[in-house]
Amino acid sequence: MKDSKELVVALAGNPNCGKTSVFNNLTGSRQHVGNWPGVTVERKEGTHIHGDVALKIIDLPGTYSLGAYSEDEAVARDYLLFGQPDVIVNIVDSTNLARNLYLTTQLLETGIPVVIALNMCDELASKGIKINVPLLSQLLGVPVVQTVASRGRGMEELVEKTIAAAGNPPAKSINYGPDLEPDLEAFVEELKELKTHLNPRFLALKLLEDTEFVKDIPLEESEKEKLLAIQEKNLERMRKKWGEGVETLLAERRYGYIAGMVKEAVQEESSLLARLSVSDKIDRIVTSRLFGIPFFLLVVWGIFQFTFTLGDPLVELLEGFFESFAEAAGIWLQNIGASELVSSFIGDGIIGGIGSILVFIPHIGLLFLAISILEDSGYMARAAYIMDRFMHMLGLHGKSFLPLLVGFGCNVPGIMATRTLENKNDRLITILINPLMSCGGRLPIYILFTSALFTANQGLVIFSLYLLGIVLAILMGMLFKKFLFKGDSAPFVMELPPYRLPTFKNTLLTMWDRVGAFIKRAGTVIFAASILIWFLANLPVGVEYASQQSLLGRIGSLLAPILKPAGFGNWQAASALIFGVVAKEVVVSTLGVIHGVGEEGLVGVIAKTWTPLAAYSFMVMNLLYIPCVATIGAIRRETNSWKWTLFAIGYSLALGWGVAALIYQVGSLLGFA
Amino acid sequence: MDLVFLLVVGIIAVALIAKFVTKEAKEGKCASCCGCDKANICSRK
Repeated sequence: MKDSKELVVALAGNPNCGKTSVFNNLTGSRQHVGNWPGVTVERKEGTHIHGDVALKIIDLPGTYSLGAYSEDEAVARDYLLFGQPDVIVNIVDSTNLARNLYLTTQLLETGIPVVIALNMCDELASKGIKINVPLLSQLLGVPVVQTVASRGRGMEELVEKTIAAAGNPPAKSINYGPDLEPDLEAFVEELKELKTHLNPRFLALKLLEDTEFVKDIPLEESEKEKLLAIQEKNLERMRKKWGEGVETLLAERRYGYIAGMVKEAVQEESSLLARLSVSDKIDRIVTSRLFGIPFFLLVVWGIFQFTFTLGDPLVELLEGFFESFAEAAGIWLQNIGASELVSSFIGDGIIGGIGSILVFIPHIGLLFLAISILEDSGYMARAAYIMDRFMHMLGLHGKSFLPLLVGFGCNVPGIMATRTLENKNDRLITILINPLMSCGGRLPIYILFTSALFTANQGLVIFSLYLLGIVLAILMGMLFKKFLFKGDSAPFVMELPPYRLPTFKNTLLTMWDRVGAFIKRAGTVIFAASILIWFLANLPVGVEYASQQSLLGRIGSLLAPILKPAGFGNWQAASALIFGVVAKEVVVSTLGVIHGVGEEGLVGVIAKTWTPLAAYSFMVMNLLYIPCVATIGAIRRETNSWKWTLFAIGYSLALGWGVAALIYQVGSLLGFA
Repeated sequence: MDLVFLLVVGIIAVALIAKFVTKEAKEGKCASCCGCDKANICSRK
């Protein structure tokens, strides 16, 4: 214990076992909770006060073992081993006990006090599983608490047991059998001479399993050399006896121990019917080879139908509000004798710019409400599983699809989520194709143009854009794999969590987080960009506002000829695209500043000045061309390379222009112009 | 007078954009989405 009043508690467990829910419950935080593995890829800290004890809670990324096969696993391992927490709370998915206990056995060996939270206990009955908790606690030699973190059950007891466990290392350790134990003990004895905080038995086992582990231990050079010599000597001795497979042997003994423990403490209804849970039954259809992809497409299409059917009337209301607001502001400014320029600044610059974005709040809210329900229910993991099979056929890593799914919300966390990929080449490919996923920032552009020109098929058109992004991401991934990053993909087993009824609180919180962030962005970067665009639309002094002669018009006119083959060779579109690099929503606010939100509204102006084919081509361009500045920053940081960052900018620009021009030209030939 | 007003507005706009964009690019924060600053996958944490 570091201090009698403060305890450092690390939350560890397999991916998707509910660590973040426990963290949120204990700290009152609102971290994003998703029902798929890999939501937490970096550690998080928070505090829980219980009586006079302050618990500093550390939420770690999910890991199946204390190996470090991917970067997020390394984050968890390094903290548990070198961060010296007072207590480890091991969150275990009680419906999947055998698999989860592998990590538990390793945690027990660290010698750090452990408390087990047997999470998701509410799902046991429906699966026909009964766990004898006191017996399990006795067998493991540590306290075991039943919890349902998503509903806050068992948290009080968990906290009490955690406080009580501090200073009490696990009472038991795994016996690796009479044949292995003497060799192991001899190794442990030699390691006791070293000056390290790591438990000697744990260290011995780790060095047998991972010969490279020694490099990661913070030791003085002389101590490290001593350790290497001990490791070499013992490895040689044990390999003579057991061959090269000591690591496998240890894993086998652990699994054997776990199997025995599960057999003792867990009762499962044996009939096939009972084991075929509701999740399995649903999965038979939604992940089947025949229906998997059509069902996925149907779900995505359904989301857009839901968004627009419910959202359109609300958007009309907001549009009316902003029109009236702009009108009232105009009258007020006239009454107080404000100059024409100041009136234009307020009306066209601020209200026109921000108003054109804020009217889409209902659509954004409803879309993310639907996505949040899918995430929480467990369907998103199925979507990744379905695409995994498909992507493997194309030679890509299936796990790549998870960061791509995250990219639907925003490309930045999508790029961060690639840290779950072990293979560097797969990771780089996934980073490069992530910006092709249609993020929330592009949505206002789609909504604006479809509201103006595709009223009958709004959902279908936006659905086609999302789909185009996925298809092009897969195609580009294949090309990169073939020509830039040759090599085999690491095998990947997609874990499918059981379906859960989304909780009302979590769904609404997730939606509010996204809508709140959207509003905040409208008040910061979009607000500033709108002012800049208004400023450029008024220069040089005396020029007609937002005319082609204005500085804004001249900048746009420079680029416009290049965009002509794609069907939108006008300066307004060109300017919007240029400033859209700041943030994709700025495309809409630029058009809002140029056209205003007067009686006709921006939608009305677009409907009159654009053709459906040019609008579709423009939306495709916005989907594909240069990622926004925040995404460029994320690519630079995660690849640690300007070369790949510039490549991402260059290829997406070429792809955007190429595909948009192709669509426009082919569409024109077919008579859609 | 108009020129002064325009210049002030322009300078403020450029300064604000530089501030917000640098913050986003540096911190990997893009708030238009899932509140990635709230998600555990944000590198700022």
